[in-house]
Amino acid sequence: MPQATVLYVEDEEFDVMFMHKAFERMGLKGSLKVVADGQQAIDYMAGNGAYADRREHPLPAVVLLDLKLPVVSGFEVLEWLRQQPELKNLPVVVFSSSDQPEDQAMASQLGANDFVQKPSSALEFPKVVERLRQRWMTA
Amino acid sequence: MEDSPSDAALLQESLRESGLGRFDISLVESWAEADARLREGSFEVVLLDLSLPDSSGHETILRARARAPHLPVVVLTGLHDEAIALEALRKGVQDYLVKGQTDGRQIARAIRYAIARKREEARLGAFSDLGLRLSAAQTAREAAEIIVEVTDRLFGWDACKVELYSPQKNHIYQALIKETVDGRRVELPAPCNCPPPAPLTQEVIDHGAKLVLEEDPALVPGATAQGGHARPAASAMFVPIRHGSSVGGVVSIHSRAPKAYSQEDLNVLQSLADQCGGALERIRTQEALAAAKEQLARTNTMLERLVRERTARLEETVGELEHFSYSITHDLRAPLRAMQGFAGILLNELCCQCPKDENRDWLRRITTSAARMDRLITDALQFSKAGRREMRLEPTDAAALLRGIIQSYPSMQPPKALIGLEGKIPRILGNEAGLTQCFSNLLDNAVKFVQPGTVPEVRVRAETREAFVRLWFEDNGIGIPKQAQGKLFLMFQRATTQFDGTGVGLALVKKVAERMGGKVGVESEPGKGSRFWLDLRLAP
Repeated sequence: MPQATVLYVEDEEFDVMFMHKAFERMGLKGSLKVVADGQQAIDYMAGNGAYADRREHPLPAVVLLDLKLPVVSGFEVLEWLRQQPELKNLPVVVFSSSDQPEDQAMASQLGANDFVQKPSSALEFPKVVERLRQRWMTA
Repeated sequence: MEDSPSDAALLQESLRESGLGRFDISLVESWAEADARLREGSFEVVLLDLSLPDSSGHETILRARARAPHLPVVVLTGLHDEAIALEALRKGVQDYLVKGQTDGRQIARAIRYAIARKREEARLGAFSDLGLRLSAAQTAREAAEIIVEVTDRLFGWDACKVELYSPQKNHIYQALIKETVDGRRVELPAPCNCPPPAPLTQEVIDHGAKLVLEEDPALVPGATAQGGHARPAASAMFVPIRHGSSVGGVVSIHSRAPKAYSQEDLNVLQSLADQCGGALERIRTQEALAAAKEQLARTNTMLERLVRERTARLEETVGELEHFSYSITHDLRAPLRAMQGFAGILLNELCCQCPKDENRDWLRRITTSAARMDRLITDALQFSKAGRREMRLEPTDAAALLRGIIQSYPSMQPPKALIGLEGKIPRILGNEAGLTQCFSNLLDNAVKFVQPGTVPEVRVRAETREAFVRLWFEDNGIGIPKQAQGKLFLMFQRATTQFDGTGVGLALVKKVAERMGGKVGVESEPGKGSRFWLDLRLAP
C-alpha cells in the first residue's frame, strides 16, 4: 500500500523546513508534499499544469492548511475545496498561529475537519505530525 | 356745499354768532366744484346741502362719502324727510339738520360732535385693524410696518420711528424709520450693529410718554442723513410700547408743523402702543424660539457630522490596530518559532559531540529568550484585546470560577501551594472570561512571588460594600516595596526581576476590572506578604 500523502500549504520557509524534519523524525519521510500559496494548493489538487502527474503529485490523504497565505488565502482554498464534488470530503486540518476564536469558527464553518494552533516552538512540530498520523493518515 | 348764497351767508353769520369758536369755511356751489376742492384741500368736516345744481339727494351723500371717506359729513338741508334722514345716517353721515329748525349754536355743536365722533370712529377702526393685523404678523419687521402705517392713518406724520429692544433693553434689535422727503414716504436706513437706545428714547423707556411741542432739531430721525431734504421736526410724540411692567420698544411720530399734536393725541398713541405690547412680545418670543431652534438644528447637524467623522476615524484606527495585532500574531511569531527550532536542533544534534556545558547553556538561553518573547507578544495582544472586545456583564458564580482555576493549575494545589476560599463569596456581576483573567493572574502572582523554600499560602475572602464586593487575595509572599506599588499596574512594569514574568498580568487585571466597572489595588509591605483587592459589582 502506498504511503498516505500530506499536502502542506505554507509560505513560511522555516516552518516548511521544520515540518520536513518532523516528518523525517516520525519516519514519514516522503509523505510530505508542500506548496507555498493558496493558488498552488488549488492547482495541485485540481491537477493543473505541472501537477497533472499523479505519480509525482498524488492526491493527499489530508491537507495541512495555513490560513495566512499569499495570493489565495487558506479560507479561500477551503471554500474552493468544498465546492469540488470529488474533493469535498477530503480532510483538511487548519494549521495557523491564530488564537482568534473567529478564525476557528470560520474554519469550521467552511468545513475544516480540525484546527491545530501552530506551537510557539518548532520543536513541538513532531507532536503535530503524530496527531495527523493518528487521525487522518491511517486507512 | 350750498348753492343758495343767502343760505350760505346766513349760516356763516349764525356760526359766528354761536360763540363756539372760529370756523374757516370754504363755500362751494356745485358738486363739481366740491369734488375739485376735496381733492386738493384739507378739511375737517363737510357741511352738505343735498340739492345742488348738478347733484341731489342720496346721490350727493354717496359722492361726498366716496370722495372723502375720512371726513365727517353733516347734512344741512331744507328737505325735511325722516326717511331720507335715516337713510343718510345709515350711509355714514354724522348728522342730519333741517334748515330753519336749527340755530347757529346747534349747528356749531353738531359740527364739533361730528368731528369728534368721526375721529373716535377712525380710532376704533384703526385700533381693531391694528389688533387684527398684529395678531397675524410673524416678524418684528412686519409688526413695525403695521404700527408705522396705522399711526400715519390716525395722526399723520412727517417722520415715524419704531424701535424694538432686546429683553435686556440694552440694545435695539429691530428699528424702522420712515420719513417724508419731497412729499414721498421713504424708509431711512436703520442703525446697524444693534446700538443702545438714544438718550431721549431711554428717557421714554424710563419715565413714559413724552410730548414735544417746541422746535427741536434732534427730534427728526435721519435729518442729517437726508441732508438738505429734511427739515427739522417742530413737534413730536414719544410713547413706550409696554407689556405688563416692561418696555419692549418706543414709537415716535414727528411733524414739521409746530404744536401738531395734543395731549389727547399722546394718550391715543399710548393706548395704541399698549395694544401692540402683547403681540410684539409674542413675535419676539417666536423669533427667539425660531432662532434658538435653528441654532440647535445647526449645532445638531454639526455634532452629528463630527460624530460621524470621529467614528469613521476611530473605526479606521481600530481596523488598523486589529490588522496590526493580526500581523504580529502571524508574522512576528514565525521567526521565534524558527529560532527555537534551530536552537533545539543545535542542542540535540550538534552538542552531542560538544561536551562544553557553557555552549549548551547558551543554546538553552536562545530557546528561553525566544519563548519569553513569544509570551510577551501573546500577553501584549491579550492586553490590547481586553480593551476592545465586547464584555457582557452577567451574574457569575465567582467561587466556582476560583475553584475551577485552582483545579486546573497544579502550581496552585497542595503540596505546591495552599489556597483557601474563606467564608461566603457572593455572586458577581461580571464577564466570565474577564473574571477568569483577573482571578488567574492574581492567584498566579500570589503563588509565584514567594521566598524560595516557602510554600505559598493564599487566602481569598469577600467583603460586601454596598453595590460592590471586595475580593481580597492575601498571600505570604515577598511583598512589594511602597515605591513600586504605584507602577505595579502599568504595562511592562515589574516590581522584581527575581521572578519570571512579562509585566503584563496586573495591567491586564486593571484593564479588565475597569471594563467590568471595577477596580484593583494592593496593600503590601516587603517581607509581610501582599493583600491584593478587586472591587467588583455585586450581582443584582
